[in-house]
Formats: sequence, structure tokens, C-alpha cells
Amino acid sequence: MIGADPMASEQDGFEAFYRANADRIYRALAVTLRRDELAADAVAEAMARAYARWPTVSRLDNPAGWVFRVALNWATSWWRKVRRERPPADDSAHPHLWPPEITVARDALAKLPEPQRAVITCRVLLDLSTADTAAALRISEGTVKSRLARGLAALRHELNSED
Amino acid sequence: MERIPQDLAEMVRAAARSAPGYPGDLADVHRRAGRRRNRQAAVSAAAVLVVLAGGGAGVAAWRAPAAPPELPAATAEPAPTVDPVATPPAQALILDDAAGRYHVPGGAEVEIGRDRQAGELRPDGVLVGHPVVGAPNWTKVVPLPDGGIVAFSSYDTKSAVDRSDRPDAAGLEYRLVVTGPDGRARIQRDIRRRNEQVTLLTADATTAYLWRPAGLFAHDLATGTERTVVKEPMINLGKVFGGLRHSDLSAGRLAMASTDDECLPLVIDVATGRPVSRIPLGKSDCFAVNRIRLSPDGTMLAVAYQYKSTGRTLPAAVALIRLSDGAVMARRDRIGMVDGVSLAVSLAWQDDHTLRGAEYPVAAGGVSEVNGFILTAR
Repeated sequence: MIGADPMASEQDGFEAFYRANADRIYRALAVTLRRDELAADAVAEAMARAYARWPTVSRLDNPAGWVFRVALNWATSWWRKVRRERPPADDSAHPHLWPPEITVARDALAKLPEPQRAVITCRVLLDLSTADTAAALRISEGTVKSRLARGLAALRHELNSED
Repeated sequence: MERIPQDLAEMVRAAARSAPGYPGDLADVHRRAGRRRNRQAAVSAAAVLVVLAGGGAGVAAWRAPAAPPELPAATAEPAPTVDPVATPPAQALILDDAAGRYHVPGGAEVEIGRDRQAGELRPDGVLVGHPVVGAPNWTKVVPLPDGGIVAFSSYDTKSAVDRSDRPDAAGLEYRLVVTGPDGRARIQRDIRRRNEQVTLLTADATTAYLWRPAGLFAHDLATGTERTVVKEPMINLGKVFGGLRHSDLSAGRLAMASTDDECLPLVIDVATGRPVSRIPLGKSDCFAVNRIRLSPDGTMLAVAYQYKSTGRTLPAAVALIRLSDGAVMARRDRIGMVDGVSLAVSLAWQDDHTLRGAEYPVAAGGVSEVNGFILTAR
């Protein structure tokens, strides 16, 4: 009888994780950072780190949350070296043919502070619980709740003002 | 769990769907991982050569830690209060990355964060704020012995003009600001070189040490002239920006942890560029390094790191490691975590044998607590 190759099994495990999570982590990061290219690079970097440490990362409570945090840290630590005191590039400078509801959604999210966007995307797009979001972003559960409440209130305000 | 209204959740999902699909692929991940392995192999091969040539003058042997890092609990203790006048610390304990309102138990509340002030936990247990002027978006602050500070920031002089976000963007300044004890900016200098990143490693009363792509530079605060301290090829990390995760400079020695293998910190002699020691933290099941700090005399390295465990979280520890033989001289376990939330940890040496540390939440709501601790080498 030939035994299972543990290396191949780990490789398969990572590949399954990658296929199930890369796109949604990328979209969550793109919404949070509002920079698609930076988000893509950050996800690739974080996934490479997860791959290198997969036996450990795979045992964590939430490997997707870990990858999101590593990618967010990577993007923001690079970014803070060149960060400037201005909002990210205005979408209106690069017009897309989005339906009106998409434009409303993007504009409303763009007006939130990044920490609120990060909490909202973790909760909504990554389906993380309050506790998992707190662990992923290294903040307290109380902070998750307050940022979520403030962010949702601001989104509601924007949505209503569009009506 | 808090309910998220369905229409708002759908609004967020719609925004996410509007982003183009993820452009990366698994092959790219393998390529990046392969590049990391190759760089690690190159670094390890270089270290082996150093060991083979270990009889050479000025090169210390590379040895694994003599024993598992288990030490009596007595070596780790809560931070006692120390008279700061009688025993000025060799290094200031700045709360890196702190943002929000903080206090030490029983102490006054201090607001810390970018564009406001940097926080320092003094040896007497008092939390103080250092106002940072002239350096908006500062990312690094180093207190000076006279009460002044050196701050580094990136600053946009054309904030209203839409440009691509890159190091070569027009109108971007990398500012080095020296503030006197009176809180006024004495020196404010744009140290940017076009198309180059730059960051402040540390500073003293006369010199700021800057990482540039070409290596480590000593920047004369009075004149602005710079000299090379360590050339990039010497650090053997592939590249400074992107390859270097943590670094510290003390007593003519430079400690570095690379992005590719942060659990194998390297210490080199800046005068010769030759390795002094390489610390294989992997033997302590190191998973990630969060902070490194060289002792004032350059003979020990303090490392805050997370390690693998059988649990589903990554516990953290601080170890004091003697560079001459890799022996763990003290270790404190179970730091950087409270109620399942990770805390930031900052380190500074009180003297050549005593390390002070602080742990605290970052950007939490309300007023956060800063807790100090002390580790003393056996």
C-alpha cells in the first residue's frame, strides 16, 4: 500500500484554499484600499507568505482573515511611505460604465474612513464574525462594533440622500 | 452577532463585484514563494561561508541557542518605577504604531497618533506625549537626549492635484524634522531623492541614519551631507525596500530581519560589513518577528516574535539573545495578546542587561491601557 504524500496533501490544501479565497480577499481589499492594482499585488504577496507557512497558517482559526490582514498590512506599510494627505484617486477621473446603483455604492464606501471600510468588508465580504474581524484587524471587538455601526450609519445616510 | 441590514450588505457586495476579477494566479504565488526560497538559500549559503571562515578576525561564530528558551519566571517582571533622573534610559521606549487615547494604570490620559504626538513610556512608569511639528504623516520619531526629537514623514505639497501614487510622484517630500526641547522645529529638510524610497532607522544628536535603496546612510543633521554606512550588497537581502522587515543600529552593529526569513535575524559589524551573528529563532518555533532591538553595547538582541503552537492562534514572546553564542538570556512568554486581541509591543533597553517593553492595543475605541514590563538578562 502506498501512503499519502504529506507534501502533496499540503500543496492540495493550499491550492484549494487559494481557489476558494483569492478572489474574495482581493475584492475585499480592493474595496478597502480603493486601489485595485495595489490590492492585487498585496494579495499575491500575502498568499505567497501563506503558502510558505501553510502547515501553520492552515491551523489558524481563520486563514482567510490572516491573509487579509497580512495583505492589508503589506499594502498600508508600503503605502504609508508614500501616503499623502489627500483622498484616493477620484473615480470620476477614470469613468466606468457602471449602473447607477454601483456608482452610488462605490461613492458611499469611498466616503468612509479606511478603518470603517476594513471592518465592513471583513464582516460582509469575508463573512467574518465580530471576534474574527477583531482578530484579523488586531483591534478590540468593541472597536469592531463601533466602526461597523458608524460605517453602516454613514452608508445608510448616503443611500437615503440618493433617494 | 450584529445584524447588517440586507440592503446595505448587498450594496457593499455590489461595489465589490464592480471591481475587476482578481488578476493573479497560483503560478504567481509559486514564483514569489520560489524567489523567497532562493533568497533564503543564498543567505544561508553566505552564512555557512562565514562559519567556515570563522577563525577570521572579527567574525563571531554562528551557533544555535545553547538551550531551549525556558527561563525562570523571575526573569520577567512587571515594570517597576525608576527615577528617570538618577537612571536615564539608554534607549527611549516609544510606542510604535500607537494611535488613539492611552493611559497607564492610574495615570493621565494621553492622545497619541499621527499628526498629533508620539507616545513614550518613561522608566518611571509615566506615559508622556512628544508633540511632532512640521512632519505631518510622520512614521518614525526618535527622542534626543536634550528633550528634542527627530521625526520622519512623507508630505504631499500638491495634495489637491491628482497624480499616480508612487515614490516618484511630483510634489512629494520626505521630511526630516529636528525639534528642539522647546517644541520648535530647528531643522526641516526634504531628504527625498527622486525615484527613491527612504526611511529613518534611528538618530542621535548629530546624525540621522537613513535607509535608501543603496544602503544605510549617515545623514549629518547640521549640514545635510550623507556618507554610506553599509552598502546594500552587504546586507544580502535582495533589496532594502521590500527585503528588509526590521532593523536596528547600536554600538556599530546593525541588526536586520529580512522579509523572506524574519526568523533568522542577522547582525553585522558596520565597520567591516561582516556578520557578527545569525540567530536561528526557528529553533524556538518562530513564525514571525514583530520587533528587534540591539542592546546599547551591541552584545545582545531583544526579539519580540510569534511562535507556532498546537493551538489555533499564534502566541508571542520576547527573548533576550546573547550574540556571541546565541544563548537565550531571558524570555517572557504570553505577551501581545489580551482577550484574544493582539497587542502591539515596543522594546527599548534601559541598560546593557535590562530591557523595557510595553504592550498596548492600536487604534482601539475608548481609552486603551499601556502595560510595561521588564526583562533582565541572567
